[in-house]
Amino acid sequence: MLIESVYNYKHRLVDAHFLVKIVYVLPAFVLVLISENTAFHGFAFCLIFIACKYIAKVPIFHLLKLFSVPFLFIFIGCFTLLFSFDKIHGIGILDDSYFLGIAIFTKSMALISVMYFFLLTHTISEISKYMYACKVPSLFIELFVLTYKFIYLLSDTAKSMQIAQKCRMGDQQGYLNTVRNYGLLFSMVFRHAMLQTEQLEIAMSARLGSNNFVFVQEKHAYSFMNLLAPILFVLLLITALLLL
Amino acid sequence: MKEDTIVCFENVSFSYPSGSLAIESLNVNLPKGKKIALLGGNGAGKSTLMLLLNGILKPSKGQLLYNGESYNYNAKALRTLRSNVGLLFPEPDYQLIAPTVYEEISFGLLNQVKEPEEIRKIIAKVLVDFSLVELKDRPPHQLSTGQKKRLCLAAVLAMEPELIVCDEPAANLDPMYADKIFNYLNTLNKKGKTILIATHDVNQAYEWADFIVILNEGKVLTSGGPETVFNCENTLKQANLKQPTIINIINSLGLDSVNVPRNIDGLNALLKGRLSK
Ligand SMILES: Nc1ncnc2c1ncn2[C@@H]1O[C@H](COP(=O)(O)OP(=O)(O)OP(=O)(O)O)[C@@H](O)[C@H]1O
Ligand SMILES: [Mg+2]
Repeated sequence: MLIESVYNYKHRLVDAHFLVKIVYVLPAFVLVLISENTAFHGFAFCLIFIACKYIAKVPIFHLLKLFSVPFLFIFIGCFTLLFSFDKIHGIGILDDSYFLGIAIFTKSMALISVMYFFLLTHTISEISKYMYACKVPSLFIELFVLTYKFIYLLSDTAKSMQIAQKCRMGDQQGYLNTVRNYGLLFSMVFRHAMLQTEQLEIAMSARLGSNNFVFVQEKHAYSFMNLLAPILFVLLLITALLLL
Repeated sequence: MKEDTIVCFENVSFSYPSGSLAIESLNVNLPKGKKIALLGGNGAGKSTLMLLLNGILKPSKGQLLYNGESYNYNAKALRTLRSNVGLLFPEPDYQLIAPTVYEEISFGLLNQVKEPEEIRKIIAKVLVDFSLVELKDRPPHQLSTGQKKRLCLAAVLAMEPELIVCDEPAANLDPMYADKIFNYLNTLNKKGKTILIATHDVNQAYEWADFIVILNEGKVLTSGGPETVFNCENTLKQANLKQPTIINIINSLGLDSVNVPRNIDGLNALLKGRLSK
């Protein structure tokens, strides 16, 4: 499942200055990273999950689906951590590894929730803007934006071609046929991608572009009032860290 | 060469690398400040002609003149040419570049205007004109075909070229947005811009255009005002086209009106006048 298919373009921070957004994300990230407190991690996860629901405005069902993938991986990883084996006792769970497993699990989930919140409130161009600000070489940023663009061009082409293929050949085909058809499909998709690149280049030159992916972004004003909510959010996290 | 010609094709031929001759010794003058419709069946060479206009394709024979000066294909001259000749492609998917609608409109402008504040002002206006405000943060590839088309047009028109070349601007648009786009083209025309559209829709062309060019197999079949061009049914047939409905009705009813109406309202008025007599 792609983040973009659940991204809500009417989330609460659409017109927010990037400073407002970063106050939500950065302190939370740092706090979760430095703290070793399991209860705090649990609290942070819940708070950010709620923020994903009410600030990023993603429906709960989608959020659960989104979180289920990393959950599964991390859970399996931590589960294997629990068990230790030696010749005298056989397989068992040590207290140490039990706590270690829980600690790693909660910390990872909290970090992932921060990451998701970031992704669900920032568009690709905003992320690329941060990259510019962090002095990432522009070549990498262009590559990043282009990759994003081509993932969609390719997946769209592949989807429509597959539908067309199914329509013509029917759904029931032998195993060998399926393999061959997929081979055909991929070769066609790549040919298409080449054509599309060519067309894109033509379109860019028609609009005076010189192969640079540079754009102008909207400017958002901000005031101290806008910062109030994220500061409250951070204060909440800090108190939790101190209390728990 | 006449004074009021914006682009002049002088004996232009063009064949694709694969060998197909798409344009064959074509001669035509595109009048300045007019609304021009380029008509022709599939494969007549309309899209090729438009790519020639923008300097994306270079004729294999003959030459094009912009305001009396022949096209120059070095990088600098092409930049000037392309900021004067805006081109809208028929497939929106291949011309959307940016990650968001807002930035898409900024792309061409950024190559033209240097001040970001200036650019933001223009974008704000264009977003309203094309009812794209709601969509400004969306990635273009998530829009519907019609919305994409509107965005492409907005992105090209934001650059305010002198000659606006649109390949099938209304294909895939619902009637309301098609009307909106033609109205927008009209306002630009009133500001003195020349507009060239390629289409198969004879009715649209008849109602909207001041000057018609009919292409067939890479050659100009006829060109001129809509009344004269559309009166000749045989020529139209030769180019896989039909007579506009209004002319057809008037001819088959045998109404010999001095000014043939250009749109449905005019036809209604004419018929009502005749019936009440
Ligand atoms: N990229 C290409 N390579 C080779 N031949 C081409 C290419 N594009 C077009 N042609 C050929 O050039 C001729 C003119 O094509 P063009 O696309 O200009 O037609 P058109 O008038 O735009 O048609 P339509 O109404 O279908 O869009 C056609 O015979 C076509 O097969
Ligand atoms: Mg065409």
